[in-house]
Amino acid sequence: MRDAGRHALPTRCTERREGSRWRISVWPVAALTFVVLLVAAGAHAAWGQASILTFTVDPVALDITPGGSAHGRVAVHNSSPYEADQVDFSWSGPQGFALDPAPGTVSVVEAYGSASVPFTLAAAADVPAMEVRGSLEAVYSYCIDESCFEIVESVPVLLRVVSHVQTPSAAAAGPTQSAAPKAFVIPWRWVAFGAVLVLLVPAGLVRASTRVRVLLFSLLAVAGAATLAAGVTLDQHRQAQAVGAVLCTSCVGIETTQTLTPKLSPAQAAAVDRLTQPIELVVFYAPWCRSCPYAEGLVDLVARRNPLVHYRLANAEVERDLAAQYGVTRAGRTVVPAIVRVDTGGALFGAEDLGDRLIVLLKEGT
Amino acid sequence: MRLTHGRRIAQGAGIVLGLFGATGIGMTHILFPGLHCYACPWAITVCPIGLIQNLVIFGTVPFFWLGAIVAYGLVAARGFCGWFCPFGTLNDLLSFRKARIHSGWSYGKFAVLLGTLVGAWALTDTIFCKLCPAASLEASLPYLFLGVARVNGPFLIHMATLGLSLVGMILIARFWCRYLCPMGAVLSLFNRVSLLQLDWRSAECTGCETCLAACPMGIDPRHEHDGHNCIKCGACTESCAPDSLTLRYGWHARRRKP
Repeated sequence: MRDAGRHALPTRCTERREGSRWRISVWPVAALTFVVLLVAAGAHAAWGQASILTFTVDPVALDITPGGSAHGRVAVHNSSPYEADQVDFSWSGPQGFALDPAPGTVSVVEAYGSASVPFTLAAAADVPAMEVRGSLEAVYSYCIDESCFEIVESVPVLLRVVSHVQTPSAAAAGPTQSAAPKAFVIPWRWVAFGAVLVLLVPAGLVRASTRVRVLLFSLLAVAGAATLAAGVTLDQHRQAQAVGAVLCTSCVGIETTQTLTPKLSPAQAAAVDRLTQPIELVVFYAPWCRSCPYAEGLVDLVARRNPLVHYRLANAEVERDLAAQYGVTRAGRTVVPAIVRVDTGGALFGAEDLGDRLIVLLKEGT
Repeated sequence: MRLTHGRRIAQGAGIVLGLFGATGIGMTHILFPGLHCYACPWAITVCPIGLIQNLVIFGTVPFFWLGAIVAYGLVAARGFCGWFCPFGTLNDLLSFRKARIHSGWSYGKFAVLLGTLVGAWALTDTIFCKLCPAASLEASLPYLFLGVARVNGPFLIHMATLGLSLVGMILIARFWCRYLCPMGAVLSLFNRVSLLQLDWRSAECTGCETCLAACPMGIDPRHEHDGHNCIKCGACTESCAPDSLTLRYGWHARRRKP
C-alpha cells in the first residue's frame, strides 16, 4: 500500500464554498429513453414469437367451378438463420371447400432457403357463384438452441367460383424444394458486434478530448443498439431468462457435480425391496444440468428394482407450472435436479447423498 | 440534498431491484448492471458474469449480452459500482480504511475477468460462480435456510471466499471493487465515454488533497478521474471545498470561473 503520508492530509479545508456539485443536461433524458427502448424491445420480443417464414400464394386469386378443383402453389421463404421444420397446411374458410388431396408436409426449410408447395382445392357441387375468402393455415416449428417455438400463420387465399375455368394454373405433384439463393447478405449483426469490440479499444485506453469522446459515445451507442437488437432477434434475451430461471444446484456451488454411475448400496437395495405401496415420482431436470443424469439414473434403478415405483421425467424449463405445483420452485427459482413424491409432496433437491435421501423419501408414511 | 443522500437512495434502489422477486415476479430477461447473483432466491435479473460464462459454455455469440453491457456502460459505466450495485454497497458500508490503491494489483480484476472466461471455456463450467462472494451471500446462505443447500464442501468454499472478501473490505475500503470484481472490469472499459463523468478543474484546485483522503477507491481523483478505478461515487466532490471536482452527467462545455 502506498499510503505513506496519508495521515498528514487535512481532513477538511477551512474555506468551504457552497455550490452545486451536480449538473444535469438533456442527456439523462436521452439515456433514459435509451433504457426504456431497450426494455420495450425486450418486452416486445418476449411477448410474440417471431415468424421466420413468409408465404406467398400463386396465383393471387383462384378460379374454381362448383364440383371442380383449382390448383395453386404456396412459395415458402425462410428469412432467418434457423431451419424451419414440419411445415403443414390446412384449409380454413367457408364450408364447401377442402384441400383434396392434402398438400404434403415440407419436412425442412433450410436457413435462408425456400420451398414451393402445390395444393389443390376442391369445391362441393352446390357452392354458389361468389368470391370466397379463406386461408391456408400453416403450422411449423423452429428451434433456437434449447428453445423451440411452434408458429401458426394464416395465408389468405381468394377463391372465385365461376361456371367454367378459363386459365388453368400450374401445379405439380408433391412438394419441391429449391436451394437457397446465393445472394450476398451483409451480416449486419456481425458488423455491429465487431464495431463494439473495435470501439472499446480506444474507449477504454485512450485519454481523448471531449469531442473524440462524444464521437466514440455516439458510435458505441449505435453499434451497441444494433448488437442488442441482433441479440433480441436471435432470442438471446429468452436464453438469458432461461439461464436465470432454473437453478442447477451444482452450477453456483451449492454442491459438487455428480457424474458417477448411480448405484444402490445393499442396504438401500434391501430398503427398496421392502416397499409395499405404489409410489409415483417426478424427476425434474434441465438439459444442461450435469448432475441431473445421476438423479434420473438413480430413480430409474429404483423403479427397475421395485415395480411398485413409477416415475416420469419433467423438463423444468418447459414444465414450469408443474414445478410450481409440486413445490420445486423455491422463491421463483426452479431447482434442478429435484425428485418429488406425488402422494406426499415430499421433494429432494440436488444429487449429493441422493441414495440415502431417496430411501427416506420412499419410506415416508410407512 | 447532499450527494451522499442521493447515492444512498440509488443504492437502496439497487437492492430493491436485486430483491424484487420477493413480490412474486419471476425471472425477467434484464441483465443486472452490477454483480448480483441470478441464483439469489429473490433475483429477477440475470447476472452478466454468470450469463457470459454460460454463453461461453454453450458456444453462443453474446449479442444480447454485449448490447446490454454497452447500454449500461454508456449510461453510467462504473457509476453503477458506486451508485447501484448491491455488492458494491456492501463494500461501501465497510469502507473504513481508505488506503491508497495499488495500481498494479488493480489490474487483478481484468485477470479475474479473463480467468472467468477462459475457465468457462476450458472446463465448461461456471467456475467463477463457485467462488463468487456475491453468490455466497445472495445464494448459498439463503438456500441454506430454504432447505435446498446443505453445509458441504462447495458451501464451505463459498463461505471462505465471502469471509476473505469481507476481511479484505474491512482492511481496505472497497477491496472487492478495487482488485477483483470482473463486472467492474467490464464496466471500467466505458469509464471514459460514459455520460457520468467526474470533472476536475485544475484552475480552481488549491492542492489541499482532501479528495485523496476521501476517495474510497484510494485513487487521486485529480489525475485518475476517468481511469478504470474511478467508480464516480462523488465522495471526492463532497470533500472538495473549492468545488474543483464535480460530477457531471452529459457532455457540457467547461463552466467558466465565476
